[in-house]
Amino acid sequence: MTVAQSSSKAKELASNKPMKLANPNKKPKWMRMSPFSYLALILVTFLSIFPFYWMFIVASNGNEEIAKIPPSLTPGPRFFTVIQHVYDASDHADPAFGTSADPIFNNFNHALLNTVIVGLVVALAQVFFSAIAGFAFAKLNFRGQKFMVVFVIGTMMLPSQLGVLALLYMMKLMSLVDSLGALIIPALVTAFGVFWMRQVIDAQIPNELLEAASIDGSGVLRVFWSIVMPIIRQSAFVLGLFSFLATWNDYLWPLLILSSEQNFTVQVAVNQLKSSYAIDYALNMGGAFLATAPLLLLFVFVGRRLVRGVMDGAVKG
Amino acid sequence: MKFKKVSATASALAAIALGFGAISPAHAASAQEITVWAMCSEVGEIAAAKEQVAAFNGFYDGQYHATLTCKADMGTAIKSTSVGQLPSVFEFDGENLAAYVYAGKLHQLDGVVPASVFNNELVSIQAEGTYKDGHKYSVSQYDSGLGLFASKKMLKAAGINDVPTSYKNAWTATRFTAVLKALAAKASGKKAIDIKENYGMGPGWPGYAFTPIVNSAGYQIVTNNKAVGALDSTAVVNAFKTFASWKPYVDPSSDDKAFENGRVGLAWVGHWQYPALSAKLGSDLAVLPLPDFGVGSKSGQGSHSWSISANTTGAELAASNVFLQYIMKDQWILNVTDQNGAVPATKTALNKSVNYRKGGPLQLYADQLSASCGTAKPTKACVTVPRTISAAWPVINTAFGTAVQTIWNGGDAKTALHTAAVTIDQDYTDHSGY
Amino acid sequence: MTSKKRSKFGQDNLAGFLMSLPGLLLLILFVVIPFLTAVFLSFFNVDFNMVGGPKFWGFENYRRILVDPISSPSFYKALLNNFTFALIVVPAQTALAVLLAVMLNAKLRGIAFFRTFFFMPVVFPMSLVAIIWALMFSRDSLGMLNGLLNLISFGQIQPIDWLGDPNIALLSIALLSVWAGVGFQMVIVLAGLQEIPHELYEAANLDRANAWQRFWNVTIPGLRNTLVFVVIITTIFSLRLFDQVYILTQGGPIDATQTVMLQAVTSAFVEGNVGKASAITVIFVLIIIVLTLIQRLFLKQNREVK
Repeated sequence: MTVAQSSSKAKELASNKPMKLANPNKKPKWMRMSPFSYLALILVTFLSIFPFYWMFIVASNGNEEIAKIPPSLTPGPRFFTVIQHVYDASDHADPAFGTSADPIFNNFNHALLNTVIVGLVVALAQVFFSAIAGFAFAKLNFRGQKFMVVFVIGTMMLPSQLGVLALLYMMKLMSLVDSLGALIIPALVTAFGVFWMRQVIDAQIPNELLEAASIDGSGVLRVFWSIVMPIIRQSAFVLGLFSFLATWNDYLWPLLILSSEQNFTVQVAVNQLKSSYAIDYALNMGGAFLATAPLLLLFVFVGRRLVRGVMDGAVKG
Repeated sequence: MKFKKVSATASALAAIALGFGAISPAHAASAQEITVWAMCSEVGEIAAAKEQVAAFNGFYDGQYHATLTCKADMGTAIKSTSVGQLPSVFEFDGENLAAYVYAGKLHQLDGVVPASVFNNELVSIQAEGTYKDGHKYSVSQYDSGLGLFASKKMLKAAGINDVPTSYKNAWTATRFTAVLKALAAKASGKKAIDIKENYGMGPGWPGYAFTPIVNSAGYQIVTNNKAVGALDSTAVVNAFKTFASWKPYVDPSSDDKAFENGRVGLAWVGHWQYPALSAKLGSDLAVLPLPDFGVGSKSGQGSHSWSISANTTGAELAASNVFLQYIMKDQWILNVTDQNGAVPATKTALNKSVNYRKGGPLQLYADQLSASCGTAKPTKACVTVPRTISAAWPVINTAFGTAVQTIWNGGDAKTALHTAAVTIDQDYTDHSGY
Repeated sequence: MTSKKRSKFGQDNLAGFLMSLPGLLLLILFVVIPFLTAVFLSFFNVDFNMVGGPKFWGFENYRRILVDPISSPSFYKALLNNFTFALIVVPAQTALAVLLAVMLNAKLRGIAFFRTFFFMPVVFPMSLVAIIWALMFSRDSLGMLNGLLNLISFGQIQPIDWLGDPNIALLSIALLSVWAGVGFQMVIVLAGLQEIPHELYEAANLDRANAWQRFWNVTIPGLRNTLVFVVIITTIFSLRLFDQVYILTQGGPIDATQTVMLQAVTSAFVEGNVGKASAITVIFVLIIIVLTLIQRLFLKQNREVK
């Protein structure tokens, strides 16, 4: 129903029944409940953030202070010492790479850089391949199209990590074992990405626009690049962001395929920190902190767009 | 230390026959080039690896040249590299030897490395480096020691005066139960021992630390290619029932420091804790053998090994042999054991080691390693037993570890060990007996 | 979903085909072929080290996983854990997601800020989040959660062995999973909430419905399809449970947190048993397909009701 219809319906309802609201002059309902709401919101926010805060507390206090009862809840002075320990522990003195003494070009930061490189390449590739396929599926006509769409949706049901064994053999055939390529190539496209871009393009690009361009005599690629891409760039950004985050989330595969530290991603580097039996809480938390800090920073800038993007996607899907 | 890396790779996989990008060493003009992969697990070991390679290159300048690559995860590196692409020489966890031989990745070292090198090795390490075909496939610079650490004062305070002085007069399991009870009664937290539960009671730690319980009951986990009848025998089942009965006296030690911080008087752990413990406890620290479950005290062993890859031939093979002989010199063995605290794995180096030579504080470990049972059925005369030398080891390690965990958490010992034994036997059958 | 009316634009067969080709080929190469390989290998006695190559042995892997008295109990235990986990997580996470979404649907100042924070745990890698929680779960008094319980109970609550007690470990994993995952479901529900016509609430208000009645009679029916979707998604996610248990418990104590995925990975990469791992994989995918079909039936019925 339209806005006009609904408001008239509300009026009708109102006129049929006597006004029951106790005090029409009172503030709107949502403002009345706000003190309690804010309290609840702050509580949940606290629960969401607390583990990350706790990680920083431990990383900045070191083991001894944490072993106190009750444990310290405020940041301590040892943050940089602990970070240095992480660098030292990750530094296996491979002559080809930096050393722990170097605050920037050490192995842990090298792993961070690897992760960012893999994440960016994968994100760009996924957006590109998903967008062209999504466009073809949503707006073009060609033989086998229906079958292809069903096929893509079908592959969404196959959990990708279950193909790990065969992927290992493939990586061997491609001579990609123990290289960043092994992380990038199998992740160039996902069925979800194609499906999502198809939905997005279908919903956001009016057919008339494409027909107009077609009359202009623009070719398919040109239309895709200069008309479609600018319109869907927000959704493309969200897809890219998801792909980037998914690369950071991937744990098992890098662990299985990488063995040299120059190729380690940050997940593997953090995993190496716990290879020792003695539990070094501060060291682990320091590693986790270094590994999550870039995401935290990213999230500050794009978190709202990400949430908005997921909501839009949820409505359309 | 040695064990933990060992187990870390045990929980990785034995060997995937995968390929790996070509290694392109910078060839010196005339020198015979070899490539070397070392395990880069600990700072001291890495330093030692670099020092010995640099010394080798200096000593044989113009004749041989070794290029060192440090692998943070050697298990993954070997399993994902096909034999043609492996380096000339590499270091690995000794427990995986059989799996690598079975996969055709190792070069037989008999007839390559001189017999004198093997003869100088501790018998324990000779045993670990020998495959079931009777041939040697690896050499090792160091071995590991497993036993009990004890606080003399706490034992005395609990009225325990029959403290063992050698593996020959180890406490019996029954006596050990009484010792634990007495210690716990006097301890502030009512606990008596740290068995390193924090290392994980699942696959891994039990394969190293609690296999000696099986051995001390008179069995190898796999005897004549069969685990049923050995691992699930009445003697072993009863030994594990006793073991499980100690749980009330065991400090979970999630801070890793139950013994170091004086909460308990005993610790069931390896040599790697010695430096920290001796610094903290000083002369109060004693090193004791593990308890005797019937056929004498037994102990674990095993550490990093070095070998040559199967496809290495000709001048490269000769140079690899020279390299292995070079790093097996006492000087380089002591150089690495000084840094990581492990037991030097040759007789001559052992005699030069302050900690491990006769009269040294850790002589017990050396004595234990010098009395290896090898792969034979354990008797009262021997002490250390290598982890099962079979390509089935990853399966054995998992099955056994799972059984120990089940028993430790209150499961029926007979059922758990029988399940493990059947699982192990099935794996042998699946692989035509390996 | 898709527009029924096709654009007249782009009758060009070739362009459409060529544009969808790269994505399609990559999917075939890296998703479909690996899965088909798994199906194929599940009928073989094969492992990484096998000398002499794989040997065909029909359904032996399946027999061992599903029937054999010695080896099948561990699979059923894992499957049971998966379903138990789903039974805990799906209702808890869905209810919590609805609650949080309703809170966030209020027109409060700075609500977008709160939304972002609620969503934050979702974007962080489980491999890192689990490390943080490992410390919070530490069983002695050093553990944050135990310290907290001790504090609020004035020392009455004894330290809990969160990950070491077979009766508690799966619950602890569930707690962590809900914390880490609820933000995603929350955002989907939030989107669903904003689709509910506002007039319905106004009408309910005029009918003197209290907040609770509005929630049950307007919000929940309005969210029906969203909730079905959320429940299905959450079920599939919880069946895939892997990272958390791999990092925190490795399936222990005594298989209390063993899962199907973990078993597949352990079979392949610890025991080197490729055939068994492949067979577990195939069974797992079949279970997911069955669940998805049930979901489709359920969704169809819902649409008919509407």
